[in-house]
Amino acid sequence: MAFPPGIRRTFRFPWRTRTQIARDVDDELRFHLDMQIEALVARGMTRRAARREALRQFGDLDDTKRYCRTVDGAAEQRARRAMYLDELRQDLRYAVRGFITHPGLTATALLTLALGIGANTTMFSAVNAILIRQMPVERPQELVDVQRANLGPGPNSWSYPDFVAMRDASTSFSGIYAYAPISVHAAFDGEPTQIRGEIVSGSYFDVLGVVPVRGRGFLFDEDLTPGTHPVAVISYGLWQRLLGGAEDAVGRTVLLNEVPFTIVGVAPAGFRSAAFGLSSDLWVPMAMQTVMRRPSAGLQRALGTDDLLTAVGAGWLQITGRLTPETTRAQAELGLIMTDRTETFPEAGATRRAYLTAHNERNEFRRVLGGIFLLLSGITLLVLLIACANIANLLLARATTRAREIAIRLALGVSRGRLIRQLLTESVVLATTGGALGIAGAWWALGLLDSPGLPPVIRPILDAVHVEIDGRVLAYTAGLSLMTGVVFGLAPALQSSRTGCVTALKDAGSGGVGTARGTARLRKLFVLAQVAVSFVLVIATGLMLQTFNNLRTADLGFGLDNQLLVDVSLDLPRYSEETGRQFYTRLKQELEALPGVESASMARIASLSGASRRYEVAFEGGDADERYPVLANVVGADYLRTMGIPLEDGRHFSAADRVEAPGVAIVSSEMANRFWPGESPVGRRFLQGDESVEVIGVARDTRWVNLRTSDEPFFFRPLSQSYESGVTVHLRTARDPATLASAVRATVQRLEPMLPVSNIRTMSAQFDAALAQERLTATLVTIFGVLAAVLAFLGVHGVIAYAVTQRTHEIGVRLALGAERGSIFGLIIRHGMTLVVVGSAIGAAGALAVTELLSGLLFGVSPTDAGTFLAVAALFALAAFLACVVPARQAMRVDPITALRYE
Amino acid sequence: MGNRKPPLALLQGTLDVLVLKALSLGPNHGYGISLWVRQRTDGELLVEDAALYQALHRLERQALIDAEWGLSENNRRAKFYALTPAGRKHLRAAASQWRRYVAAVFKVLEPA
Repeated sequence: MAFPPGIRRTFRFPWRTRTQIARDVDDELRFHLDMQIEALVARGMTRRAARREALRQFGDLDDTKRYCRTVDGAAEQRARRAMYLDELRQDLRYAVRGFITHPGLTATALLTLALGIGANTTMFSAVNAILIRQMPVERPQELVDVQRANLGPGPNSWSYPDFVAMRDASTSFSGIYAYAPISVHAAFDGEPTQIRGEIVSGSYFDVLGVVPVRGRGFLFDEDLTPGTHPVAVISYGLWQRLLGGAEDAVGRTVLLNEVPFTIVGVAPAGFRSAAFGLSSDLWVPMAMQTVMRRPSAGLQRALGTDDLLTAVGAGWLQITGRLTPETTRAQAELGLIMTDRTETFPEAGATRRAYLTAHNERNEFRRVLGGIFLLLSGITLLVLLIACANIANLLLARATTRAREIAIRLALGVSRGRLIRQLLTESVVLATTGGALGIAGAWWALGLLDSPGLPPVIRPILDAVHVEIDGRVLAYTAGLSLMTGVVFGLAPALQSSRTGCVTALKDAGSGGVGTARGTARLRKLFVLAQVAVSFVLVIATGLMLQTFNNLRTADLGFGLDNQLLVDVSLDLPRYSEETGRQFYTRLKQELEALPGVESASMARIASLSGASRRYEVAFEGGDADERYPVLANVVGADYLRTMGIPLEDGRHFSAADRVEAPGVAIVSSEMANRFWPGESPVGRRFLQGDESVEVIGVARDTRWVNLRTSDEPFFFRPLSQSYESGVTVHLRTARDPATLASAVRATVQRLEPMLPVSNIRTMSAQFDAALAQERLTATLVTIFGVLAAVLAFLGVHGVIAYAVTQRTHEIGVRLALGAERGSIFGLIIRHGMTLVVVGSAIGAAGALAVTELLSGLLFGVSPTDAGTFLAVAALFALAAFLACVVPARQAMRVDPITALRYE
Repeated sequence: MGNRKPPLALLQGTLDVLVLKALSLGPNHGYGISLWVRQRTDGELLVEDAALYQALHRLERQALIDAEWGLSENNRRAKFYALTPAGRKHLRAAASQWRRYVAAVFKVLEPA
C-alpha cells in the first residue's frame, strides 16, 4: 500500500465538510478499536471483555476525537487557502502570458480602460472634493449652520447682537462662531494687494479646533471692544508667498485698510475656511469691524452708526455652531431664543426664525458645482459601461478562437467554476492594469490644473475646491476597476465555459458552431446596449452644445467690444462719503481725458460678474406690505451711454439727481411691463425700503447679472443718490481696450497710490469668464459624448466584421447560386443598420425619459428638442453605414470557390 | 508477563519521533504503528493509543506525514500514513538530537 508522497497536491481531492472530517476521524478510530478487539478475542477474551479492555488501553476516546477533528479542520482550511493562492498565481501567470501573446488586443483594451477609468477617476475626485470631503477641521460632522428663515423682506443673514444672544442663551452648542467674508486692502512691504479673508468672532479657531502652526488664534475678548484689537491670523499660503515663511512673521505689523495690524498667528497649511467656496488668506476679529467691514452708506444712514456690533437690524453674519453629541433639542431652543428677540426688537425684522442645517449643506456654490460634476460622473460611468461592452466583445471574439483550448481543459476535468475563475482573473488583471493607467492619466489631467496656461477665471474655483487624488478616490477607482473587470469579463467567461467539449473539439477549426451562435447573440446584445447608451449621451451632448451656443450668441442688450472694467474699492477709513464722491468725480474726469477713452462710468456691480443685489420694493397706492425683491444696480450718470444700453423712454440720470433731490430710478423694460402694464411708468413712484423713488426712464432689458437671466425685472439707482464705497469702473474705448490697461492703471494709482489695481479686464474677458463654467461643462460633455459614440461604433464595426468572417461560407454558397454581389453588400449593410436602428430607438426612448434631468442646465433648447433627436438619429445612421462599409465590401469580394473549398 | 516492572511514562516530545520512525519503514495505519511501537519497546514505554492518534493528526497538519485511505491486510478501509520528505528530514534531525541527549545524560550518570 505505498503511494508517492505529495500525491494529494497533484490530484486535488474534493474538500471535506466539517461532518465529513468528523466521520473520517470516527472511522479511523473505529478501525483501530475493531482491530484491537479482534486481537484480544483471538487471545481468548469474550467479546464484551475485549471491548472493555480495548477502550481502557486506548485512553480518553472522546477527547482524542475532539482533538483530531479540530486539528484536521485547521489543516484542511490551510490547505484550501494554499491551493487557492496557488491557483491564483497560476491564473495570473497564465493571464499575463495570454496578454503578452496578443499585444494588439491587449493594447486596445488597456487604452480603452485607461480612458474610461481615468475619466471616472477625474470626475470622482471633483465630486469628492465638492460633495464628500469634509472641511479640514476637527469632527466636522458636529457642525451645523444656523439658517435664517426669510419669509418676507429683510436680510437673510444674522446681526451681531443675534449672534451674541445665541451664544449666551443657548446650551445646546459646545461652541458657536460667526463670520463674514471680507476683501481687504493690504500692504505687505510695498505693493498694495487685495486679500480675501473673513472677519470672525473670537471663538472661531477654538470651535473649529484649528490650531495655528505659529502663534495663536483669537481670544474671546477680541470680540468685545470695537477698535481695540488690531490683530490678524494669516493663511499658511500667504505666509509662504508674501512673507517667505519667515519665522518672525508672528509679531510683525502689516497695514490692512491702512490700519496697522499685528500678525498673531499662522493657520495650518490646507486650512482656507470652514465654509465651502471661501478661500481666506486672512482672519481678523469682530472688534475690528469698523475698519474691516464697513456698512454701505445707505445702511449706515439707516442705522445711524457704522458700528455693526451693536446694530440689531443689520444682517451680515453667517453663524455656525458645534453641537454636543447628546444635543437633540438645539433647534427648538434656538427657535425660542429668536422668538423672544423678535418681540424685544421688532425693528430688526418681523421674521427671524432660525433653523439648523448640516454644515455647508445649503451652500449654493457647492450645490451647483456638485450637481454638474455628479452629472459628469454619471456620464463617464455610462462611457465606461460602453467601453466595457467593447472589451467584452473583444474577449468574446478571442474566446471563440480559444474554444478548443477551453474544450480541452473541460475534457481534462477542470470544473466550470474553476474555468470561470480563471477567465475572470484574466479580465480583472486587464481591468486593474487599465485602472492603474487610468489613475496615472487622472493624475496627469489634474496636474494640468496647476499649469499657468489655465484661464485665470477658473483660478478662484480651484482655490476654493482643491481637487486631488486622495485615499477615497484611489479606493473608488480600485473598486471601479474590479467591478469593471467582472462586468466585461463575466459574460465572456460564462459563455465560453458553456462550450460543449465534444462539439468544440470536433469542429475546432471553425471555432465551434454551437458556441459561436451563442456568442454572436451576446455580442449583438452588447452592441445594442452600446448604441442605445451612446445615443442618450450624444443627445445630451447636442443639447449642451446648443445651450452653450445659445448663451454665447444671446443678445445681451449691450455690446462686448471696446469696453474695459476696473474694480475700485475705497474701503479705506480715511474715505468718507464726501471724499469718496470727490475721488469718483476726479477719476472719471482723468480717465475720460485719456486718449482712446470715450466715456467712463461706475457701477456697484460689474456687468456679467454673476453678482447681484435685490431690494424689497413696494408700489405706491398698492398694499405697502406686499413687497417684491427686485434686482437692482447702483450706477454713475453716464452708465447707460457707456454701456451702450438704449433708453426707451424718459431721461438719463443727471447732475441734478443729488442726495437732497427726490429719489429717482431708471427701470428695465421688463419691470415697466410687469408693474405698469400698458402705460408709461415715467413719473410713477415705488418704495425702495422706506424711500420713495420716482421712475424717470425706461432702459432696454439686458443680461447683466449672468447670461441666463434675461426676463427678470430690474432697476438702476444713481450713484449720486446712493453712495457706494466699492465700484467697478466701466470704460468705453475707441480702440482695443486691452491696450489701455496700463494707462488706466497708472491713472488710478496716480490719484490714489494705496489702491491695488489688479483686476483690469475687457468686457469680452468678463463675458468669457461668465461663460467659463458653461464652456467647461459643454466641453467635457462633448468629449465624453464623442468618446461614447466612437466606442459604440467601433463595437458595431467589430460585430459586423466578425459576422462577415463567420458567414463567409454562407456568402460563398449564395454567390455560387448566382446572387448579385451588390445584394451581398446590401445584406451586410442591412445587418448593421438594423442593429443601429434598434439600438437608437431604445436610446431615443431612454433619452426622452432622462433628458428632463438636464433641464436645469439647458438654455434656449427643450430637453426633448425634436431637431436634436432627428440630427442625432441621422448622424447614427451615417455612422452605422460607415462602420459597416468596410466589412460589407469585404463580404462582396468573397471568392465562392475559396470559401467553399475552405470548408 | 505478570511480574514485570510498570512501563515508563513517555517523555515530552518522544512520541512524535517514535511515530516518524515507525513510518520510516513504510506507510502504515494507526493500529499498525501502535503494534510496532509496542513490539519495539517491549512494552517498556507506556504509549497510550489516544496520545498516538493525537500525534498522528498533529504531524499530518505539520505536513511531516501524509494520510490516505486504503485497504488494510484484512481488507478493511483504513487510514494509512506515510512520511513526507519534510518528515524524513525532521526524523533525521530529531534522532541525532536524541542520541546526543541520551549520550550526555548517560555520561553524567555513568559511575566515574
